[in-house]
Amino acid sequence: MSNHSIAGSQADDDLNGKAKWLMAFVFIALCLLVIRLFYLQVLMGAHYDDLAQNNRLRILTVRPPRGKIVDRNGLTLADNRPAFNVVVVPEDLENRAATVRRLAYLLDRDPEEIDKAIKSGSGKPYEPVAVARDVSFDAMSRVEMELYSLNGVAIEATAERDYVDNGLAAHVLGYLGEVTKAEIDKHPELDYVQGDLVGKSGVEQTFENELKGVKGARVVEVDAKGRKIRIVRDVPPTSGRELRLSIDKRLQAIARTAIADKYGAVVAMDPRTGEVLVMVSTPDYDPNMFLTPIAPESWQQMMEDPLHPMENRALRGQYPPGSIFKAFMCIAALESGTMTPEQEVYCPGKFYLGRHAYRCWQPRGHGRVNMISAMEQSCDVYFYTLGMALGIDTIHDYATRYGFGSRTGIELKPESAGLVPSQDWKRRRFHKPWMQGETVLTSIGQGYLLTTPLQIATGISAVVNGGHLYQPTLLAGGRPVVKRELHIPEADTQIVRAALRAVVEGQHGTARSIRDTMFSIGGKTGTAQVARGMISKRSDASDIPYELRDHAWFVGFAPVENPEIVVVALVEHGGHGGSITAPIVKDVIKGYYFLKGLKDEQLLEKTQ
Amino acid sequence: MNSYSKKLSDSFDTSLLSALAVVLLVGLLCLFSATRVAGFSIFVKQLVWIGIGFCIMALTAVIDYRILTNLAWPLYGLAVVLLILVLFVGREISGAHRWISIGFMSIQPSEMTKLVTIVWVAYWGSQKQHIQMHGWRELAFPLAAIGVPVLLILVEPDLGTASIVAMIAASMLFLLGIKRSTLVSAAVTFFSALPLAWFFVLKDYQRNRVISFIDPARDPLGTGYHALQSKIAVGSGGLVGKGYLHGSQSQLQFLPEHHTDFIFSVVAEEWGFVGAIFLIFLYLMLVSRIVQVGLRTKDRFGALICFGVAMYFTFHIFINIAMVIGMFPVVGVPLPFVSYGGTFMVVNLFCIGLVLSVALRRNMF
Repeated sequence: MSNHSIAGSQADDDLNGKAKWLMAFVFIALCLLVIRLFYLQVLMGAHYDDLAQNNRLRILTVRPPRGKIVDRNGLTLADNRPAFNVVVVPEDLENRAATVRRLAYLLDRDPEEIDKAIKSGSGKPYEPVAVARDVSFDAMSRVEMELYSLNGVAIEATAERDYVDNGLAAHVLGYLGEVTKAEIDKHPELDYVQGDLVGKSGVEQTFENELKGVKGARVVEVDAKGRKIRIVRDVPPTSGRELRLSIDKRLQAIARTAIADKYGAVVAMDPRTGEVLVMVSTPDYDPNMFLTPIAPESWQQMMEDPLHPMENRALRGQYPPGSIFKAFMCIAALESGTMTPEQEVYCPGKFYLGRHAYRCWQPRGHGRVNMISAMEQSCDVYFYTLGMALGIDTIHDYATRYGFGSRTGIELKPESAGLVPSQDWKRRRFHKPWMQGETVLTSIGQGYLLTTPLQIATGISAVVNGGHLYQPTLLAGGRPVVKRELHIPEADTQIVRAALRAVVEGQHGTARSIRDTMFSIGGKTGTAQVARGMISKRSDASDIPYELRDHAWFVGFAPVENPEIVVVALVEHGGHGGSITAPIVKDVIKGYYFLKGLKDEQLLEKTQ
Repeated sequence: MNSYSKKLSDSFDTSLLSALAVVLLVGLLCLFSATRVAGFSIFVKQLVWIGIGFCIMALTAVIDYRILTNLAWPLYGLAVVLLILVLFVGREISGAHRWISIGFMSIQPSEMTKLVTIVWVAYWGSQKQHIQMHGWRELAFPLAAIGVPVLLILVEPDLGTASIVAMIAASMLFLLGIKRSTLVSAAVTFFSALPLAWFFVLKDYQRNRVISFIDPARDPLGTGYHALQSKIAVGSGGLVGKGYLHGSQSQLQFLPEHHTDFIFSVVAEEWGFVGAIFLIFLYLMLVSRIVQVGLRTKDRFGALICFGVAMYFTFHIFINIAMVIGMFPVVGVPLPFVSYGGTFMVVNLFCIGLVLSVALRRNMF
């Protein structure tokens, strides 16, 4: 060791002298504790014993009302209504078996179910556990009458979620469910306890933190039987924040009525802001049914339903865009300078690639067509030709710019990304080179391409609004978020709008049936092939088995010159494009003008 | 010189180890009582940690503690680096950055700083033996050196640990000798800095703890609730307690965290005043044995290590029990050898190992 450790006795004695102080300090500190303990346990022991035995302080959580969800005009989508829960304080149950039996009888439930509910509590015997949530007034009264003989049972008034109109916009709103153990453990700072309801999907889930509010608490002094003596302290809960969605509830109802019993999705968007006005997905469900614990069988049934009613088809469903994609092909042609609008292509009804013929949907052919007339009649040969001229990677490039192949980032989860193929993608995915024929198919929106209705609404909005790709949102009145500026020259936007207008208003337009004298509409039909080669002779495709029928698309916007609304409708297995979906879009656009007129009238009345 | 075996038995501190064994036993009994409702996993884990702790203690006792004189600065540097690191890469738990994850385990640099402080001050003190009484001029260096980790812990923020580190360092410096005038001016500075600390250093939740300590009725839902329920549990234990496994307050889980920071309330409730005093007496034995080892060694560094460890235990014991019985605000300080917690148990047994290492070598100079 170094020399410093051989200490002089002087220094060590000094250190040791100080150590006596140290021992004195330790002794005094511990003596203080003993004195305090003597005071608490010996002098005040009886008092505290009394507090512990007879008068117990209990801390009860008071749940806040969840924030309301309203539509863009302040109309209610989800509210709260008063409800009654029957709760049990396990510690206060005198005769558990008898009480459970009696409760089961009064509430008309299975005793085992009630017993299980008691066991599922927090494990703290003094904390109330809800054994029956949202009981009927009659059942509540029956329990109330016998409360005097049911020690440990109480009735608790709470606010229960209420999705008005049986959950119109169910997929947007989502639903609530009891918080799981894993969620409690994952976020200790959020202060969840067993039995709390939390958003499990939709905006209820996304905006859980805003909607949930802050819990209050009540300290009550109770007697030995658990009866309340007095409230010692009451901290009221803070209710959750109101959430104003961009959804227009009335327009949503119109869209829901328009799609009726068909399965698919309708999305309406304001192309000036990216705000979603309508989001319908069918078949839908009533979110109210998840509020009271639902039987495992019906949950199972719901989850295994081949029609997937829980799935939001507007952003989860992936379908080939079909001819709707032609609108993006036009933009690609103009922007890349591959084809001018006037340039003509001859359509004999077939397009030859080597020795293989690709048919136009019109076997007779369209003759000479330019960009506008090709769009109007949805001529496939024109777009085959254009596609070959562009090449798959340019197509991929433009489709990607308009948001295809990636999630839109709307406030709902989960969302599908869709798929835009490219040479690179195919090599990575299949380890095979890209085939020219696949470019041909992609040009008319078939092949590997996959899109969601929401992507179509977002993409078409950018096409018709002059190249501003907005991030779609479900919140009203926020600042629009531009995801990408595409810098489309005004002239090019005009051309594409004119082409889309010709589809509805042109002599040979494929969606001529929905033209209107009151307002201008532009749009595009689309057919997403499900099984290749199934070509129907009838317009409703009723000669083909249902599950092999094509998906029908229509996207429309109005007014053409300064678009205020873009509407997409998709009907699964709806057969050929426009015939079934165009009227749905028309209904929504008409509804939009009707509601707008109504508003103007009200404004007019107010000012007069 | 005595025979080797005589020397060994003389050096090997049996009363220290017996006090330790009884404290551990009491702790295990309480932990069992506090956690049996929830199952035995916590109890078993604690047993495993004690086993690991004993191995580390034995290993530390065998190794010559004086190698630490060469490690004082490197350990100090490591602690400071980890404390800086934790601010950036630390896991955030309720607003504080205290833990660093390294693969399969997490470490709490501020916990480690307590030990490093003992070693560093002991090292510094053993080198400055020629000075009898320190004034501000001589103290500036060690104060600055200890100030750095203390400030870093304050930033995390972890007021409890920062104060314990500061108190350990201060008490060790006191033992080294401080001029009376310096002591007076230090006390004046400390008390005049308190109001400043209240407004500028303490966070809202920390102020709330102090407020609810002074007036528990103001916040009976949060920390006041803890304090109140804890007092009821302790007080209702009375003179002889409610009997093992019969503490209604603790068994009914009125008290959250009653197996960690609030475990003393289980002792006091189930074994009463008698049991509580017994445990405190055991702690007094333990601490005084550690001080005895320090007094008997001829090595100044070893003595300072022992005194530092003694203060380390004293501060934990005092603050924890004072908090449980309502004499001190609720701060997260566990009770040595009794509270549930693996790292804390291992660190404490490591400290005992250091003291044993000093005891075994006290005649070697």
